[in-house]
Amino acid sequence: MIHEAVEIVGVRKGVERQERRGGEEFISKTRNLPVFLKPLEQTLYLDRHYSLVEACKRGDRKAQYELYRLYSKSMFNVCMRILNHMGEAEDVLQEAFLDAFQKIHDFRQTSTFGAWLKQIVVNRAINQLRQRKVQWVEVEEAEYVGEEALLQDETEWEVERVRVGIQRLPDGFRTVLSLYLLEGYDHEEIAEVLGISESTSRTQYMRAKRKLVEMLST
Amino acid sequence: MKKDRIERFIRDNREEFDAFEPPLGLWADIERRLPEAILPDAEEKEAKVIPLGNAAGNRSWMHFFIEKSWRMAAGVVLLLGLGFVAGQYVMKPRYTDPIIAQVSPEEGKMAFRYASLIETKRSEIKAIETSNPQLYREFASEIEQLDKDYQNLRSELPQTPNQTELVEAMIQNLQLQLDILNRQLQIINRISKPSHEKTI
Repeated sequence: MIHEAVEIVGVRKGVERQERRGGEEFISKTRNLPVFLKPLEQTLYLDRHYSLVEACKRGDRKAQYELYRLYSKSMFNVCMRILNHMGEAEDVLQEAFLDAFQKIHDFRQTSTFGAWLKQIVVNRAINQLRQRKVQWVEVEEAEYVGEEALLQDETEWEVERVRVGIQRLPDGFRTVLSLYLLEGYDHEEIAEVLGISESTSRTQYMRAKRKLVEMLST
Repeated sequence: MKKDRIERFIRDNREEFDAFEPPLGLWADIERRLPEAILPDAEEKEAKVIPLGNAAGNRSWMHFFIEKSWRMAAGVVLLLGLGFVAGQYVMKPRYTDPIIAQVSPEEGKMAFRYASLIETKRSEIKAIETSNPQLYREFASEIEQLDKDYQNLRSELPQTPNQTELVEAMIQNLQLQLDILNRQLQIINRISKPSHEKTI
């Protein structure tokens, strides 16, 4: 049951969340490793960027470029998924990197640089999206979109088709689905970053997914 | 709740979803707007010399004593410091690559840790030597080639004029080895997984 359409107001608050995300991102990176290697891998993974970040704090241009080189592609794709517009994605990416380099003194290296940067990128991209007056539909808890409603036939999917399918989703659907499936956010985090309720995030996600599968099976 | 097909499909192919490349000129735009880079040398300030003794000619015993004790104290501190450093050097087990550490201690440690991780992973991969000798040979030779390059770089290091660049290349070589090893382990994991998981 749709109650009202709301404009999104307010930006995210939690900083401690970044820390958690750092852990998650790391876990997804090492998922396929034997268990006993994980802790060592983690310290190394952090190590690899630690000195770069420290150099950046001293204003070292080479280190800044190195971080740009390492992260620009994945961050650009985050922007593209949220904004679906080359020009806007470029602007947001540029602002986000500038922002990150200027605020790098606040980054205490408790999470990974990538996780910290992604937080900046996602927030900026969503602010940009807001200017298009995207509406996320608020819904009552009562509505439940059943999993079983999803028609998922056995045809083989190709990444490219799925990717383009996601791109064709309406802004609101695309954002929620991308944040959940591709950026690894949970519904609580999506709710916070978009300023909607958790149940709205869930419902939007279910609808987006249904729509996507529909598009793919035709 | 069971994960459905589309979710699994996207998560399994996560990396391929990053299809766009950022535009080439973007870094130049960013760089233009960054505050002036700080050169590392600019930070080093000249040490100021503070005269300790009384410059006037009539030195009293007191002055003489103060001056001497300053020097003695400085000497003691210096000796203690040297002893400490030497002690650490001798007694501490060295978790570092001694050759690289001469250029950059931090990177020496990094290289050592990468190298030990690489070693662990290589022995991990060796486990398939009996069950799949052909694949093992292929995997092993990839790493051996890189390792050979690495050893060459390492032997060049003491003589080369641009040591920092060489160290960087060495670290990159190790990172590449690790990346490849990770991928090899992933492949091995995938192969050894029971096949029904893939068909759903």
